[in-house]
Amino acid sequence: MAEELIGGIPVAEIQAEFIAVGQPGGAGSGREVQFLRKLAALIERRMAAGETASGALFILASGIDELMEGRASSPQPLLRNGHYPISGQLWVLSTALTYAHAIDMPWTDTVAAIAQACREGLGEMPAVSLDIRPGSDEIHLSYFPQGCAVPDAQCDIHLINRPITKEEMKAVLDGFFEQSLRTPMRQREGHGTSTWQDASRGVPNSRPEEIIEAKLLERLRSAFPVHDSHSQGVTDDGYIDIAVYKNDVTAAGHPARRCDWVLELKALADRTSNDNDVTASPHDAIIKGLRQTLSYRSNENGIHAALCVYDLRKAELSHDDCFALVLQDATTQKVELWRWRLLRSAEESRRKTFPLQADALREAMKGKRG
Amino acid sequence: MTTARRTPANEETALQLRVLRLLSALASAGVETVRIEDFHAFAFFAEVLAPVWGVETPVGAVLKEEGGPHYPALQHQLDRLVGMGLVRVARLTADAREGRWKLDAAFGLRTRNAGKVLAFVADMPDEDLATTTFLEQLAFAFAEIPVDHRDDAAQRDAAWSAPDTSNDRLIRFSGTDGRGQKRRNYSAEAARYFQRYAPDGVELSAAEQTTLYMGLMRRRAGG
Repeated sequence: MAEELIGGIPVAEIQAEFIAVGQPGGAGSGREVQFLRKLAALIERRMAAGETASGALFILASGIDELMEGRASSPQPLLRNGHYPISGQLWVLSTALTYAHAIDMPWTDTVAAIAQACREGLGEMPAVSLDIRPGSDEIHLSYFPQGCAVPDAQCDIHLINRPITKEEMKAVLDGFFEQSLRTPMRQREGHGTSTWQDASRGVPNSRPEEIIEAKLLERLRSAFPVHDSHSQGVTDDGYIDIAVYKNDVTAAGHPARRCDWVLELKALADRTSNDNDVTASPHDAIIKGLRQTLSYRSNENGIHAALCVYDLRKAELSHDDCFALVLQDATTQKVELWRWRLLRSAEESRRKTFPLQADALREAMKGKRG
Repeated sequence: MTTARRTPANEETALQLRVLRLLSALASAGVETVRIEDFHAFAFFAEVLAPVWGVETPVGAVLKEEGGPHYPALQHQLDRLVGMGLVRVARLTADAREGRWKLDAAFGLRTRNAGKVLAFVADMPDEDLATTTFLEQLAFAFAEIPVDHRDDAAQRDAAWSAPDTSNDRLIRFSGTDGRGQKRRNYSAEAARYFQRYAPDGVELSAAEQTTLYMGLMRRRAGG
C-alpha cells in the first residue's frame, strides 16, 4: 500500500513526532517564559554540578551586541551548554541563552549585583536573581518581570521536581491575583486585556475566564518553569481546565508524566457582557464547577485539584457563603475551593486596604435615610 | 471599511516592515544575527504556516530552487534597510564551499534605530497583533533548530518537498488555481494534522501546532 503523504511528509512521521513530543510545553508563551524555561534548565544542571559563589543575576535583553558597546564585559558563548559556572556573575543574556555576557564586576552578593544592574541602565529589563544558601544546595530564585528596578512586581520561581504543594500553588495564585487582577488598573498594566468592559458598572468582557486563563498560564509557567502548564480551552459551560504537569520517569526508567494540579477556572458576574442581568444561579455554576473539577482530575490522574472562582460580583460574600452548597463535597473529595474577588475601582481597593470605622458609620447613615 | 491603495511606495514600505518584523521576531527568540539563507528559510516558514494562525500569507508563492527558498523582493529591501541604518551586517565573508564562491553574510537588527520604527508601528490602531504573535512563536521554534540545519529545514518542509513540485517552478500555496480550486498548502495541512493524535478533549493551539511542525522540520533536517 502506498505511503500516505501530506506534500512531501509521510503521515507516519507526523504521528511519530507527536508520540515522541506530545503536547509541547511552553508553546504560546512569550519570550520571558521561553527564557525562564531555558534558564531554569541551566540552573538545575549547574546546581547539580556544583556552584561556589553565593548567587547570580540574569538579565534578559535583546540587541546584546549594541547593548554591550562601551561596557566592560566578557562574552561567554558556551554558557548554555551547562559546562561553565554561572554563579558570581551579573549576566546579560538572550532568550535562547546563546548570547551571554558577564558584566565585569567583583561579586559580593545578589543585592549588590541588582544595584550594579540599575547603575548600568539594565534595571528595567526582565531579570532573575539566584541566591544560593551557604553550605547547602538550597536556592532561592526571584523573577523580576519589569526589571530589578521594579521590585514590587517580583515573584518566586519554584525549581522543584517533587509535586507542587497546596501552599506553593495558593501562594502563586494569590500573587497572580494581587499583581495582575485585583483592580482594573492592574489588569490594564502593560497593555493587558481586562476582564472588565465597564468595571464601575460591573460589566465584564466576553468570556472573562479566557482573559484570566491567558494571564494565569504565563504566571504558572514563570513560577514553575520546569513544569508544563496547559489549558484545554473553554468548555460550553464557560469553565477552563488548566493542568500542571511534570515530566518524570517510572521506576523502570520509562518516560512518564505526572499531573501535579488541575485547576478549574470560573468567573462569576452579575452582568453579562451585553449588560444584561445574569439569570443563571451562581450556586448551580459552582456545583457544576466542582463536578467538572472532579471529572478533569480523574481524566488527568491529578494529584491535587482546585476550583478557582474569580468573583466579579458586587456583593462581598464570604468564602463559606460563596461555596455553601459544595463545602462538604469538596472536603470529602479533597478539592480546594479558592476564590478571589475582583475589585471595580482603585477607590474600592483603597477601602479594602485601609478600612475605617467611618466607612461603616457612613453606610449606617445611608441606611437610616433610606 | 476603506483599504489603503497599494502603490509602489507603500508596497516597498510594507516589505521593509516585513523584513524588520522577521528580524525582530528572530531577535526576540535570541537569534540576534541570522545568516542570509536562514533569513529566507524563516521568511518561507512565515509564509507557509501563516494560515495555521489565520493570518495573511503575504506572497503566497515561492520559486523552488536548488539552494532553498529565496525572496528577491525581501532581499532587496533588506539591503536597503542596511543603508538606512536599521539593519546591520554582522558578518560578511567569502565562502568557497563546493567549489563555488559566494558571499556568506549574516544580518541583525540595529535595535536602537529599528526599535523606534517597530514601536511606532506597534502603536498604530490597525496593527495586526496576530501576525506579531505568530512570527514570535515561529521564531521560538525556529531558534531551536541548530544553526547549521536551519536552511535544510526549509527544504524538508511539506510544501517544498512535495513530489508534485520540481525545481525552477513556482510553489503556490494560496489563492485558487486555473479551475477555481483552492490551492493546497501542504505545510499548514501537516501542522494541523497533529490534532488527529491529540487526546480527546485536547485542542492543540496554533502555537502548539507550529511548535510541533517546526520540531518535525528540525528532526527531518537532522538537527
